[in-house]
Amino acid sequence: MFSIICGAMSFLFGRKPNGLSMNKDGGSRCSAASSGPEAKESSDDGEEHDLGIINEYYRLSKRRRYSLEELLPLSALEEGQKGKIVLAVGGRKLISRLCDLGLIPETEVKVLKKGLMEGPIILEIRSCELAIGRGIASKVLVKPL
Amino acid sequence: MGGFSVGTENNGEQKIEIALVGNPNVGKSTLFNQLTGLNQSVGNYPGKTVEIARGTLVFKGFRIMVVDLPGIYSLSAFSDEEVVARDYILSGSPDLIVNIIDAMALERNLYLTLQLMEMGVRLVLALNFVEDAKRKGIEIDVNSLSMELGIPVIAINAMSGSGISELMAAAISHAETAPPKRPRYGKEVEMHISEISRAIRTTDFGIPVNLSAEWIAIKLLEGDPIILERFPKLSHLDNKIRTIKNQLEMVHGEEPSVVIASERYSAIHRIVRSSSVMHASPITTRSEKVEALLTHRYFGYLILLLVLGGMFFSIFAVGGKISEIFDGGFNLLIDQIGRALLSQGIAPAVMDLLVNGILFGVAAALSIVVSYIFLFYLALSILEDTGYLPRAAFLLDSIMHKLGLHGKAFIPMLLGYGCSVPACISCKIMETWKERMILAALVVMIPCSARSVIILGVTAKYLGFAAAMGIYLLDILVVVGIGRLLFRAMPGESVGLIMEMPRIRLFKPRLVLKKTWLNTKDFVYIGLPLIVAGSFLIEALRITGFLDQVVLALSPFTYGILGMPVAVGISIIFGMLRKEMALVMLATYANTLDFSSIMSPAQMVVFTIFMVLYMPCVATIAALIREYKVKWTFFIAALNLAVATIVALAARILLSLIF
Repeated sequence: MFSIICGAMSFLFGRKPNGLSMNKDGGSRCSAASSGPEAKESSDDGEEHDLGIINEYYRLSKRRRYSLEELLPLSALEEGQKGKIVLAVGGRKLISRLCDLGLIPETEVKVLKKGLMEGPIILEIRSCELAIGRGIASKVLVKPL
Repeated sequence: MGGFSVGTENNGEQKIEIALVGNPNVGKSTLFNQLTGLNQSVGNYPGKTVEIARGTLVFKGFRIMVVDLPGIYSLSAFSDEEVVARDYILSGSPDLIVNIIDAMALERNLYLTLQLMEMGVRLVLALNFVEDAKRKGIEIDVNSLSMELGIPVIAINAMSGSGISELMAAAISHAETAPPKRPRYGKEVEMHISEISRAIRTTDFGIPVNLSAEWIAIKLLEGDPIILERFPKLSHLDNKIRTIKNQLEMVHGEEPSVVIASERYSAIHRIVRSSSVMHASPITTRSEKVEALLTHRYFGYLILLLVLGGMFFSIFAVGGKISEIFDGGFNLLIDQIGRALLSQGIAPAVMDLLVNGILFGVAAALSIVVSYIFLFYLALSILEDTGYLPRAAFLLDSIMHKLGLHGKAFIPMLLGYGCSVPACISCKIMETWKERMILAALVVMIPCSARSVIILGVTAKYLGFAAAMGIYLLDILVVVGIGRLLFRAMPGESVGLIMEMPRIRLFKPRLVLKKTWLNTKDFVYIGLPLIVAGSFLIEALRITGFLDQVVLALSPFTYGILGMPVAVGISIIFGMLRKEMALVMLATYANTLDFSSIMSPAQMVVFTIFMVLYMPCVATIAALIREYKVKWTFFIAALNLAVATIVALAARILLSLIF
């Protein structure tokens, strides 16, 4: 039964994940490092690596301690690689959740495991393990260490 | 439990109320059960849908009411659980908060502690999992942690119960002392906090005196969504706060809420550094090796298949056997009772009502409970207790994303193929109400084992295995379609997967059994009366001859719209009670075991589709009402009926065009 369901699901959807999540926040105030009217509506759940938007945020951010070239989305780190969080892009709710769990700027994270097929990422942060979706991970910008 | 006497009524005792607050998975419920015994009533918090358990214990002449709040990471009011917990704390009803802390994740757990300190409430810290932390290389100096925070800290072991007497003694002795002072944050931030709190203190904004002005100032700086709702007069400060927030953002280059979160974490870091030592542990422990294997990109999936398959098998194969034995025993017993009653000279009609109505109803419900429900909860408690569930969710996240849900949603879906009741209840594992409600609406449409009996007994038997598989596939299509539709239609946002990965550990049989029993008991109280009442009603209808009339009354629908034989009305009626009875009743009613003599192949397909989708059974409805309230249950039932009718009708038209 298991394989039938899996098969049917991947058959039905191929790879077109977007448009499922709702972000009622509308054009919410976003991002760890930037904000303001330029903030675009963003879906916290999206799975694409939207580097365009992240670059835009970074350009607007008031905290440019690093040059953009040395930064990567968290989702681009390899297993076992470490990074320092620089900023996160997303709706209020997402940013607040990330903060609650300690994913704030200047925090060191280590990628322990990356799931198959754009699956989630297991992180080590503040000596705890945390799994976050690939979509969220692609919205956190880090400086690889 | 030493000096505790649980729940004894005694006059002249002093009463205090304490609330247990902590992150999810820190042993909060274990502590609650240790404190109050397992005889507490789990009640709903008035007006809210998040459960709050209460219990009482008597300790050293004090009657202590213990309130177990939902597990939360923060008091930022972005989830229902947080709002419930916060409102309760703010109500001023608890004399003291017992904040339970996981010693293995000290920094993250203290984040909530700091927020509690900001609120200006009386606090006692219960430090749990100290031994496990030591094994991980974390050594915490309880005294210096207590000094640094200015809060009493008691090391406990919630599982064994050690330290709990000390904890209660500390709670009692601090129930009337002055609340602790929160740690100071950066100069910039403190300046703004005191500026705003001064403004709050000097003007009347309709804020109760027991609320800390500093806390409100911090919440305003964070842009808290609820605080303005609760105290609308605070909007007079809007301009002032906007300027301050801009200023703060200019200096720090971050959103004020992020600035404050950073301030809290740096204060925590200071405290943790001076009160604990971390030994780097170069040796990977055995549990770390197991953890790595469980989330391995290939072996992980293999193990998942084995675990889920094993769970599936044990619930539905073993459960089926137990149910058979149970039913057999009950039938014998009921037969004898019936005969005994008859020999006492009771009218046959009354006896039918008693035996078929009530006794069979009880037997049916009990056999579901003992076989499926109990086993399901047992398996779930084991998976929960070992920490395997988050690993399974990690592995399945990308598949479930296609449905708009995330990893954890797979578990209820899979269970739906066995029995809808545990499937509906297990939807609780989703974080947001939106996800829970949508998932509940979806899992009831998955053919449970009773509906598989119909698929196999009609479609597979007369039309072949491929046709039966076709029905399963069609069902998946319908579920997926409705799922995507509901996700678009329903308000509320879903944050992607953010999930703590607890350590893997061996489960504690005693705890697992306790949990299983608590959950099962809840179901018995709701499901049993409903099934009995339903059986009684149908039997009464049968005896009075109304059943035929009801079947006939359904004919415009069964015959007119769906083009099925009138007799299938009996299946529809019984299917609402217990789906596995639907076919048996049809056979009895139509007086044949050969369904091909009463239905054409096309009619069989329409019949099967309708029966699979049309409505959850009474037991499922009871579970739905318990978890999601009457309104949503009604919606789910209506949705199912509509979907079943539309799909069955479409199948009828399509099949009539082909053949």
